[in-house]
Formats: sequence, C-alpha cells, structure tokens
Amino acid sequence: MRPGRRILGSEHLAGWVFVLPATVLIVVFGIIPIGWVVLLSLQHNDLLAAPTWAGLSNYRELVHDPEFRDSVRRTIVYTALFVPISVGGALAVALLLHSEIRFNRFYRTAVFVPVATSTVATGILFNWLLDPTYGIANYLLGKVGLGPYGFFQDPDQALYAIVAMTVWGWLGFDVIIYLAALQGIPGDVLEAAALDGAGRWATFRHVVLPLLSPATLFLVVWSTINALQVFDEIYVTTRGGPLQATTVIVYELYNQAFALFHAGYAAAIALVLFLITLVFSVLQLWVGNRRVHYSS
Amino acid sequence: MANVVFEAVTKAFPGGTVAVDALDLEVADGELMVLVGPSGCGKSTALRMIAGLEQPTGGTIRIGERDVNGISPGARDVAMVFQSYALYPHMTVRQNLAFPLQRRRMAKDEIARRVAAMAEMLELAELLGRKPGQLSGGQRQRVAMGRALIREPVAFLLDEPLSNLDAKLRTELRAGLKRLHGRLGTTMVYVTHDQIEAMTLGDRIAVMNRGRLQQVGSPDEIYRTPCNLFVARFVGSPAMNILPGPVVGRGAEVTAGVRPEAMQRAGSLAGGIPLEVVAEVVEPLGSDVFVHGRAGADEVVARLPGNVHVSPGDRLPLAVDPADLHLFSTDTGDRLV
Amino acid sequence: MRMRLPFSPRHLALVPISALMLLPLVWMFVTSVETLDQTRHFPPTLIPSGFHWSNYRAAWDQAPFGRFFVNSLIVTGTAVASNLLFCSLAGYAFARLRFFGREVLFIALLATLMVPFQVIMIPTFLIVQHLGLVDSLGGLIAPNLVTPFGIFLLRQFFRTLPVDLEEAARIDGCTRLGVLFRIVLPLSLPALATLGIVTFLWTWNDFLWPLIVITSTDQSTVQLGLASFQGAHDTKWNLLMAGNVMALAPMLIVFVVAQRWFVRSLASTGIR
Repeated sequence: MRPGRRILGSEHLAGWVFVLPATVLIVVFGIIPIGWVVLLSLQHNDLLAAPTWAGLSNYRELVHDPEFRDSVRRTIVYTALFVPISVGGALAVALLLHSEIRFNRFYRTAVFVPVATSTVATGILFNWLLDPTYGIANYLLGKVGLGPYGFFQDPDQALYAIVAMTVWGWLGFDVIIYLAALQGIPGDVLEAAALDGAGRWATFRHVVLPLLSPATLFLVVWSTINALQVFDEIYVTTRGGPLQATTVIVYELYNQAFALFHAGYAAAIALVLFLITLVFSVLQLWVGNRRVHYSS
Repeated sequence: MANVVFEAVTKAFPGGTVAVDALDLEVADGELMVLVGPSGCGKSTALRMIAGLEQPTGGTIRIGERDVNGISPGARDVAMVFQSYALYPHMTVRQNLAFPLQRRRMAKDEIARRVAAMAEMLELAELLGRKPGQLSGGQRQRVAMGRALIREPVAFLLDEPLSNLDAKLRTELRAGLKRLHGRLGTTMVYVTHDQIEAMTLGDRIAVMNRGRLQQVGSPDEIYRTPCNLFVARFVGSPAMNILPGPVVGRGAEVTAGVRPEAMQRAGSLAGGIPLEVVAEVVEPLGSDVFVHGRAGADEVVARLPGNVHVSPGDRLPLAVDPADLHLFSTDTGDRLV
Repeated sequence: MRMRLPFSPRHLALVPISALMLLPLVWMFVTSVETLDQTRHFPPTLIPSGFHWSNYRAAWDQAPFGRFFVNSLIVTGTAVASNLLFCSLAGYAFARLRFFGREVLFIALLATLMVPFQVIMIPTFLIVQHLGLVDSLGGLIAPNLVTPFGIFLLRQFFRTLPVDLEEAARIDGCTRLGVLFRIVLPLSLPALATLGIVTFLWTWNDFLWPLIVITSTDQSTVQLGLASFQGAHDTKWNLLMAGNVMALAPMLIVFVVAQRWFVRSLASTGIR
C-alpha cells in the first residue's frame, strides 16, 4: 500500500464493483447449488410434490443399493484402465514426437486432431466403427485373425470399448501437455547426462522422467477426475448398457435425477461422487508431492 | 591423462555453414589450451566435437592417441562444464556430484567418499542438500566443476564457464581455475570469447576466426608476434593501432600495427619513428593514461605513464621503436617478417 | 552388425499411431459420401466409388443443422465474450486491487472449481427453472457466463505484468477501468486467447447440460441435435456420418487453421 495513494475506501469500492458480476454469477451457479445439493441429499424430493425430510436415509439406502455399488465398481474399473493407458500412452507418443524428424508436424497434427472432436461426435463415430456387423474394426481385426467382437453390444466388452474410445479422444491433450514439458527440459542437461555416461534408458529414468513428474502428476489427477465423471460418450453409445454393463456413477446419477425424478437420492449419489473424486485427488496429490521432483 | 589432437577436422552443417574448417591442433598432455575467438568462430563446435556432442564431417579427433570417432560421449572419459552449467535441476548438489559415479557403477561408499572430498575441495560441503535453484551463480559454477572433476577424466572441457558471472566473481574464479589446473595437471581445453581470460589462463592459446585456426602459441608469442591482422587486433586491450604503410614510412602494400604501449614520448626514445598524435579523449587511470587521438587521419590509442599530463587538443610528439612495429601485408593480412 | 535404416526408427512407430488417430476420421468422411448399400458392403472399400454428396443434403433436411449451428454459435459466443469480460474484471481486481475480504472471496470462488458440474447439475437445473429459462438458449448460457478457472488464469497472468505501467497511467489521470481496458488487456492477449479458446472448446462441445435443460429441437445445440439425429436415424450410417462431418467441420477447421494457438492454449492450462 502506498502512503497517500489510498483515497478513503475508493479502492475497496472499485475492487468490489469489479468482482461483483463474477461473484454474483458464481454464487448463483456455483455456491448455491453446492449448498442446495447437500440439502437435496437430505430430502425425499421428486421435483413435483413438496419435499420431505429424509435425514441420512438416502445415504443409507445408497450403501445397500446393489445397482449403485455396481456403478461405483464399473467407474473404478474404467478409471483404473483409462488413466494409465492414456497417460502412459501419451508419454510414449510425446517422446516419439519430441524430435526433428521429417513429417513431424504431420504426425503431431494427426495426434492432436481427435482433441478437436466432441464427445458426442466421437460416440457416434465409434458406434459406426465398432458396429459388429458392418463396422470396419471387425473387418480389420478379422484380417489378422481376431474377432469378430460385439464391442458395445457385448456386456463383457462394452466397458473396454468405451475405454478405447475415450483414450482415442483424449490422448492428444495429454500429449500436448507432455510435449510442452519435454520442451522445457534444457538440452544441455541431457548432453551433460550423456557425458556423465548415462545411456538412453538411464537418461530417461534419472533425468527426463523426474523432470516430467509435475506434468505427470497433473495429468494423472486431471485424467482421474475426468474418468470418474465420464458420461457423454456412454449416453451416446451404450446408454448405460448392454445390461447395465456401462452404467457408471454419473449415468446412474442422470437416470435417478432426470428419468426417475428421485432428486434427493440422486443428490446423495452426486455427493458420494464428489467424495470419491476428492479422496482420489487428495491421495494422488499427497503421494505425488512426495515423489514429484520439483526443481527446488 | 591424455592429449587431444585435431587432424584436419571439419564440421559442415546441412544448411551449408562450415563451422570448423580443416582444424589441425594438438593439445599436449596436461596442458591448458584456450580456444579463443569472436562468436561464431567455431570454438564451441570444436570443443563439442571433442566431447562427442557433435560429429566431425571430415578429419579425425584423437584423445590419448585413440581415434574417438563413433565413440559415445559417455565412453570418451572426458568431462565438460557447460556455459549454463547444465546442473540436474531436480537433484541436490550431492546427487549432482554422485550421478556420474553412479553411471559407472561405483560402489556406494566409494561414491560417498569422493563426493565428500570434492565438496570439501570446492567448499560445497554446506550446500550438499540444496538444489541448483537455491544456489547463486558462483556456487552453481563450482558444482558444475565438481561434477566434471569427480570422475577424474583424462581431459577436462570448459565452455565459457565464467561468462555468466559478474566481473568480480569472474576474476576470483579465474585464479581459482588456474590454481586447480596447477594442482591436478589434467589436460584442459577452455573456450572463451574473452581475450583477457585467454591470456591469463592459457598455457597456450589457439585463436580462431570463421572456423579457421589463425594462430596457436603461448600468450607471449600471440601477443608479441601475431601472425596476421586479425590476431593482432583481437589480442590486447586496448586493441593494436592499425596504420597504413605510408604513415609509418612504408609503401601502400604494407599495413603497420603499433600497440598502444609502444607509443612513447619522442624525447625518451632515440631513433624512433616519429608519430604526432593530436589528443581528443584522455582517460586517466592512475597508473596509466590512455590517449585517444589522431595520427594524421588515422585514429590511434596511446598508453602513456600515468604522470604525464595531457589535455584534449594537445599535439603530442610521440615515437615508435622500429622493433615494436608489426608489419602486415595489406593484401592478405599476414605478417611480414 | 547393426543395421542402419535410411530413416529414423521413430517413423516405424509414428506411422501406425498417426493412422490409428486419423483413420476413424477418414473413415467417417468416406462413409458420409457412400450410399446406404455401400456402407453395408462386405468387405468395406476404403476408397469411395463415388461421392454422394446428397447425404449431406438429406441430413440437412432431416434435422435443422443450420439452427443447431446458430444456437451453438450464440451460446458459445456469448459465453466466450462474457467470460472474457467478467473474468478480466474480477481477475484484475484480485491481482491489483486491495479490498476487504479479497483473499477469502478468492479462495471461496476457486473452491467451487473443486466441485464438478455433474455434482451440482440438479440444483443448477432447478435454479434455471426458477429463472424461467428452461428449454431456452438463455438457460444454456446462464451457468456458463463465468468460470472461476478464467478468473484464476487471468489473475495469475496480470500479476506477471509490471505494475509501473498501470501506476504511470493512474498518475496520468486514467481511471481504474481505463487502466484495465487500455493498458492491461492489450498486453494480455495470450492469456485472453487461451481463455477464449478453452471456453470456446468447452462450451461448443458441452453435452450434458444441454441434454438436461433443452427439450425442443429448435433450441438444441449442435451436440444435442447430433445426438437426437442419431436417435432418429439409427443405422443409416451414411446419413449419420454426414451429420457428424457437418457437426465436426467448424471445430476441425478452426483447429487446422489455428493449430498453434490451440495447442499453446491447451498446454498452458497444464502449467500452473
């Protein structure tokens, strides 16, 4: 604060005027809904008649609801596959793209392009690609002696097909992050490692990977949060089926809220989802901060 | 311990630039050789070729009589201090020092012992737990040195290691480096653009320009008998005065060079070539006074003893001992005997 | 003896990877110009025998894609503009102005980022319902007018600018608002571009919220319209792919044209 520059209160006033529009909007569409969802979760509410107080009974019901527990299980399976495959795959691709070979720009564009697609378009596209009868996937797989597969129409395969589809759509983003991080590694540090006798693998393990760890942590946390909330692609392809095989938490949540109008129960699901996301994030950040190598 | 030999080494880049052109140079075992020249002269490229970070497009490089072409940098047993130090930012000082030894699969207690000894020698003991980001420039430089020295390489390469430091630190560390070389006796190849560093540090100096070696010799030789105009002007501060032949009584096919300190007052020199200088700018430094002025139409700088009183506008009768005159061919720039 | 390839071995890996990434899109386009019978042809042919652009015509007739685009443009454009405006104002205040409760408010606003939209979608719907905005573009726009992420992004950026410029302007008599618009924002184009691009991408591709809030076709966005289009034409793959191509075209074109900006914007969201 500069002496003499502060005219009584005017900076306070200006500050509040500047933040007012954003604050009002975030309060209305952020803070109030957060409070309301907690309230809803403690009610029996079907959006039509007057809500009644439920206390914690929605939560008790949730814990014993096999459909909900299954949806949690499926979501975690999906996440456990999606995160390592997309983050690990992105690292490998970024390492390949981090060079000056010919056609590099073409390769990069090819890898990035799926990021520009929407979840809906991706879903519709993969419905076609993975169509068991006419889709090109089974045709190409047949040429190498595999398949034919039911993909979205086979309850045992549907979730894995969703993993493949969403990895395709998201890999590019992770590669972008990793490439930026790789470009931040000074070239002479790698040369120093070469002179110190580190071969390619040693340089990767002791220099590159640690210097990438902040990016890795970010991507793992970000991907996990996104994976736990997957919805769009499932709605457009399998609608939670076949036989509920792809009913993940958010799909269950959507169903309960907007198809069955069990708003209170759905709100409880929403909060449990939040809790699960929070626990995962905190755990990852805690482990991550201990193992991420920050440069001081 | 080993010597380093360049045999007709050339480095041409795909675009057509020739960074190093047919370099023939031998760095003797245990010698501190300085490669000096303006930026773009090829000195850094030459250094990196010794390290194996660049491959020559022609010629051979030998380290200790061994042709190192095709041998990876890590297997050449040379160490390098980079201009930016290139410390591992995510590792502590201790880990930075230990890294090269770990790559060689040295025993853990041996590593610990060497790290401690190196830290002791370079006064890094208190900084062992810190990361490079928490160190000052001078401290980082010492860690970079330590990391290079700890392997006890046969040759030690330094790429402008002092240029990122402030003047005072530079002078201190320059002396430290020289002492270190005296103690260890390792072959050192040192690259710099600063001719003062070159003169003070090198056992021998190799002056380069535009990829070509201009002259190699002891600092004294380079200073007293520069083999061409470029070397003559590059070494020495203030730079040598260049005067056309006619001004000093020679023909037009000769260009003469006179160092500022070779210009003395006419009275105190018998049989000298007279040169009258009209003073324009006078810089009194206490021990010396530098007089910037003109001899005829040519700009010159003279260095006179500090007790001489000169004012701008003064006409100074100066003279040059013929023995202090350097003669070069106006055509090629080469020294004429 | 080591074999040396005339080209880098990276190509061996990058070619199949690029193929995997691009082939779905290429196949989408190929299908969109085939007849229905051709789509069922076995084995499928990679190169179309003819270009049946009529599929696009048919798709356009079957569903009001034009309307969808207009709606999406209005919603996305408004969201981008309002975010740029309100996040700039708020971000600047948090970066440079001292006012009572600043730190607490900032943390409170940022904390809402921790709660994903799916968690609060029910009450958000109820609020929009109360505002009478259900099944309207206004209902789509309202929750997207401001994102705390934008405030955070701009605040961080503004703080990197030298204060001297702003102080000099104030001394010259500029109002605080003037400083923001005349001095700070012109210097903040990279950050504004990032926020704009990210908001654009997110809002244009948003599906869940339009699904909840919109029921009538003529208020649908591209994504919602595309989904219901699929519902109506279940296995007419050529038609569906034509619709897909139309829906993806704008974003793909923007991406190819402005790839560097795109990539840079996305990259900077990861660097905190």
